[in-house]
Amino acid sequence: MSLWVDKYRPKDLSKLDYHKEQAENLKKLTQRGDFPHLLIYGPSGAGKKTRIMCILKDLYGCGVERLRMEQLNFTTPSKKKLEIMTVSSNYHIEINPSDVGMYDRIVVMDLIKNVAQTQQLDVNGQREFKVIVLTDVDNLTRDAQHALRRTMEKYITNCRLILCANSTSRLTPAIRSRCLGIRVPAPTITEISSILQNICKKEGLTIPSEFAQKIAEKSNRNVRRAILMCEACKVEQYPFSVKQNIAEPDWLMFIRAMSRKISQEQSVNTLANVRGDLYELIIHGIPNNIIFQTMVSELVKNCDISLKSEIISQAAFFEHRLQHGNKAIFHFEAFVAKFMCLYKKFLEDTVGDVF
Amino acid sequence: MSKDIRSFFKVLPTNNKTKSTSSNTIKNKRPVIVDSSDEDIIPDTPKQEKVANRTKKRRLQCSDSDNEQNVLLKKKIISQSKDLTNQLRPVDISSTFSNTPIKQSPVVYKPLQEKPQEEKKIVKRKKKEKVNSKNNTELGIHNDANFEQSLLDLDEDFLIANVDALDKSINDALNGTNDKAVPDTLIGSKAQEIKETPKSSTPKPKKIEEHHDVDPDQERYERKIQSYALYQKYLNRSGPAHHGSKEIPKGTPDCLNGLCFLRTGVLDSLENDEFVSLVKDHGGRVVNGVSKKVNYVVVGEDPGPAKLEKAKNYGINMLTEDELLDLIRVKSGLIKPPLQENTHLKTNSVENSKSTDSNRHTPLVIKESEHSNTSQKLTDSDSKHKVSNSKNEKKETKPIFKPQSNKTVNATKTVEQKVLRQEPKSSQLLEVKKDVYVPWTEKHKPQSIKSIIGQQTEKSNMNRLIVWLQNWYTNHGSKNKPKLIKPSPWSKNDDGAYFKAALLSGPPGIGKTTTATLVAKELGFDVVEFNASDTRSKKLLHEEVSQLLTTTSLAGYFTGGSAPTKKHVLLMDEVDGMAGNEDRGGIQELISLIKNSNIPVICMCNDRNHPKIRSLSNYCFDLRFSRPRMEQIKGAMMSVCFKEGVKINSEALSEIITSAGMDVRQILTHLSLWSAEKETSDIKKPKKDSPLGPWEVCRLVFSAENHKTSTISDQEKLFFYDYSLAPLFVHENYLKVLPHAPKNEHLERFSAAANCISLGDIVDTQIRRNNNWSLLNMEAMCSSVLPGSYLSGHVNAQIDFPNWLGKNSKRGKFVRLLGELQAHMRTSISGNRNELNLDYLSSLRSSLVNPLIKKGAGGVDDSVSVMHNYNLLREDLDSILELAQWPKQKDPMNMVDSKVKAAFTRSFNKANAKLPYAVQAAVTKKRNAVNNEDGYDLSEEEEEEMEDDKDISKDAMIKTKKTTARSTKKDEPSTSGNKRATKASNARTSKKAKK
Repeated sequence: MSLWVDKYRPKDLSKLDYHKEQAENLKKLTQRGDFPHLLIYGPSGAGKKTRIMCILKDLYGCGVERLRMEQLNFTTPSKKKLEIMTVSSNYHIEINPSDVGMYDRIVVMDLIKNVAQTQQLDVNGQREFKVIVLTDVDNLTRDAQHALRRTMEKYITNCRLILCANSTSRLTPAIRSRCLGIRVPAPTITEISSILQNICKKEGLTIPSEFAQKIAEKSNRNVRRAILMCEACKVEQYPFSVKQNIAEPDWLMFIRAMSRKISQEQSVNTLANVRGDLYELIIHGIPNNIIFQTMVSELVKNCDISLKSEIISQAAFFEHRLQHGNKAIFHFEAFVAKFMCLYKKFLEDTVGDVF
Repeated sequence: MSKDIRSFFKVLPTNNKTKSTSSNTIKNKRPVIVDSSDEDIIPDTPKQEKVANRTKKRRLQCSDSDNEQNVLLKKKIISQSKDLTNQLRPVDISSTFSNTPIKQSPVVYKPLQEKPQEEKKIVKRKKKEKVNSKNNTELGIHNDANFEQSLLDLDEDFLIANVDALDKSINDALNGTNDKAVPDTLIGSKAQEIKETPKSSTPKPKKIEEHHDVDPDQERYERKIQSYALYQKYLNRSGPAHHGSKEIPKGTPDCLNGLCFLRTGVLDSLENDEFVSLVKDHGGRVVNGVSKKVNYVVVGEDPGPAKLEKAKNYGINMLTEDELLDLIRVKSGLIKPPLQENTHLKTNSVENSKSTDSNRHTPLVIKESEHSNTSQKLTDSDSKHKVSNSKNEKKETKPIFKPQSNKTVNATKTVEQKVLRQEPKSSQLLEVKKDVYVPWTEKHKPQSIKSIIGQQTEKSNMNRLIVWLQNWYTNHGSKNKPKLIKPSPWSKNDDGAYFKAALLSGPPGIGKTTTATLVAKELGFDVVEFNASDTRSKKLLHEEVSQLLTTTSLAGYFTGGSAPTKKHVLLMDEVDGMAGNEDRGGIQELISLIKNSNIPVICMCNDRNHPKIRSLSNYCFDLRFSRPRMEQIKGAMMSVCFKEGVKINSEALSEIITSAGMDVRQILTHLSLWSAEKETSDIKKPKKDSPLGPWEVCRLVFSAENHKTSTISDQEKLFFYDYSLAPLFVHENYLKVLPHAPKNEHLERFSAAANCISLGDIVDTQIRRNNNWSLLNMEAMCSSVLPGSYLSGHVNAQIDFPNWLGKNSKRGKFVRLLGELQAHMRTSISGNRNELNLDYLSSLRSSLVNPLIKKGAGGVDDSVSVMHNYNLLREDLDSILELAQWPKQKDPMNMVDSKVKAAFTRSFNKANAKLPYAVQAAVTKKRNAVNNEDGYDLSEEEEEEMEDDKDISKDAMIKTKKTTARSTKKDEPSTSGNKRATKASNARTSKKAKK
């Protein structure tokens, strides 16, 4: 028994629920038998991975679904031993080079090059090229991207690369120009709600369209999250009621609670208290930008428009520092302290205006 | 050798001084050995003797009147005190002879008229003197004039016998001074006995003396002859008279360190080579030319006149051979009594003072002699008396020595008394000033156990050590030793009877080594010490020390005459320094030595908690030395200051003590620096420069008081105490500061500080990423100085260690778990790590746990199927639970019944699904390693003794881990679902594997 989100994942380009036009184009692409390197990008939970798997299936047939996992080892020039997990079928290999952090260049140089250099053994197979799927490409370091760019040109006869990223902003133009960029936008709320209704129908459940709509809104246009939330709601209470409480992820709740604390009282004690919460978030591996986004959007809720702009600019300032810095907590704390300062001043001013 | 005879006379005063030292040696009751000098040898012929006797007899008769007259005369001419003339007489002689050769001529001619009478008189006097020589000390005072007179008289006589007699008298005067050891009376008899001396030289100087006033040409000729004669004498001179007759002391090899010796003349028992090697063996230096650097001139028989004169001019101390030997004995401490040492030194100093005195007075004396010379012309009778007096004086130089030596003895005695009075203050100091500079730490080292600082109480470590050492042989030495139980490490009143070794530990400079050595000394143990300067590897310890421990000490036999003893103690100093390749295996060997030792072993170390020492401390009586208290140190230091004559006020002293961190050795060094500084400049306030820990640094960063006094660079320095930790400390603790500012400003200030800290982190990243270390100052400003100045106030809470480090490593662990989880689920989910974390985790957890909660045992199958669908391991469930757990949340797994949990694990293991990936042994290995760490630590010490080689132990460790990893896998199916049980079994198996 898997979760709905995995159970009802479309496995064929023709079965995709949204962006059908795009799916058509992709199908045409694969049917021609050959295609350039692909760069598939889009927000989290929009269906990038699903599309990639569909493309592969279209190319090679069911063989790509027989996946195996392999642990590959290699050593850096500084004699550090690294391990990386790869998922592969007979026809493709999927690697996430950013798993090894700053050593991703070695992965690109060693591993990808190796795979790219070797030719398909089965000459009579459908295609004369293999596919390398690289995920989280926007986390690649600059060195790795440079290493990648030559490989992409040189071994184009042997292999195709499919890059998967959240955003192209962190990819070098050189990489971008070598790929066919395919943007997978997040589905609209109506699309999501229709997906939810489809799933419920397949599960033999009935879901009120308003409720589906509500879940879709809460999910932040993230299909995965929407389906998982829907399932969670089903576990909690079935049959669904429109007024039913939709369980949100724990970390989201946690950030909300923390933000409430900050808005309620601006003092050094609160700051010290918030520090503990921030540490907790950081420990749990919640990405820093998500913490920032969620926190700021919560904090500015009851702010004057002038204050809002000030706070958002401050948030941007400290988020930028955080990108350059090393110890996230320092910057979070500095932002919170700054917010408290501004907010308190704002409150005092407004209170002063009243009297 | 071209010097004339006058140079012989010049020697007199200095020889007198050596005489005084010799008087001491006599006092020391050493055997008096008669030097074979010229004077003893010359009167071979019976004639000479007769004449001498006769003259002496005669003189005896008339000496009284003569003396009286002389005294009167002297008093008339020189208005000086008697004792002064007494002391200065020898100088008087030499000056008259050397400076006024011309003035002798009138003296020469005058007595011509009355020669027969005079001669008779003199002979008479001589005879008289001979009889009374011993007690008639007064005579000696005036013998200068007497001698001159007699000389002239005899000159006129042309009698060979007389000439010989004169010769004798000259030599008497000359050599009597050289020959300190010979009492007056011995001369005659001794002279007869000793006959082997060269005769050739003797007549010649006499001739010169006779004629050298007559005419210049002849004088030059005579001088040539004389120098030739001296050279002949030098060539012909015999070897040491009593070669090998004396006991050569074996002093310490450095007892004559820094001293420079010059030999002149033939020594009594030493050849030149022997002399040189003797001095060199004892650290001294031998030179051939006289210079100011020479400390001692060793005068033997026939000393070189030039050397003697030069030495006298430089004020160099004269020694005889005996005195040299004594010097060696004293310096090397072979002659124990400190009094003697002191007297020796005193005499030296007395001599010095005397020589300076005499130097100061010489012009005066010369004047006197001139006076006397001029006055001589006044009357014949007067002059006669004078001359006879002078003669007398010459003759009686020897008698002079007695009173004089007595005098010097008296003088030394008084000085001694003075010194004795001073002794409690600075007996050592006086000695030290003479010799090399000794550091205060050595000088003021406690000499007895009574003076060790901070160890005087009943329960002090020192007394416990004494008790332990005293009872050692009763506890361990005999066969029927009492059965001893190992005391618990917490029992306070343990006397350590169980242990064969003691371990003294504590910070440096508080007297561990001193205590150990002094206690051993006090109880009469011989100490064998090994410290960090010795190689103490396993092999060496085994070869050298273990043999040593079973032997008996002969030290007592050599020094005290006591029987050979087995009472010795092995002192292993600085055992925590037994490290590195040099001392490999040293500690293990030491432990085994202690186990089998027949003698007590005392080990010393600074860091008792050092892992190497930990194994050793199991076998040692643990004595932990703590720093003495301020008052204890202060008292001792005050007395040291008093001894050294340093004035220091109490506050400054306390400040020195605190700044040195109660390290007594350090304090002494500081004090000696202080005393040196005080001489040059005004007293500076001692500046504390003790290292600060990050905690104190952090407090100072925010302290408003510190900001008042310190400059920006001072504040910056605080950052540099530890630039990697300082930013973390500041960040961790800045929220605890109470800034001294209006309350409404607080938040702004904190915000500004936080801003700076955040900027500091960026700078830090730049530094470390690009190795741009020149930015470190910038970081100091951002991370430490600016927050400190914004939040200038005080920290009103405990300074905490930065949490960031712990949190960061925990974050690393979570990320790793997440990575594993994602890797396992990779084939079935599409998300990456973050998406898994953000979206899947809570749903996954509920889908795994909820069936168990709601349906109990019935839900097990559902959960297991989820597990299999996502290719999860049992461990992954735990990591999911851990990752999804947020504070203030209930752990849903706690709501699951333990039976259900067990059933779940069982059914999961039974299903034994095929996984698309190889189960990572590495992961489980790591976990087991973490779990086993505690158990491993406990058994570490046992292991250490078992395993001789470290490499082997490492191998063993690796093996152990492998086996545990395997055993875990084996165990997994059999054990119940409780993970703790698995862990326990792991630990057990690992222990088994080790054994």
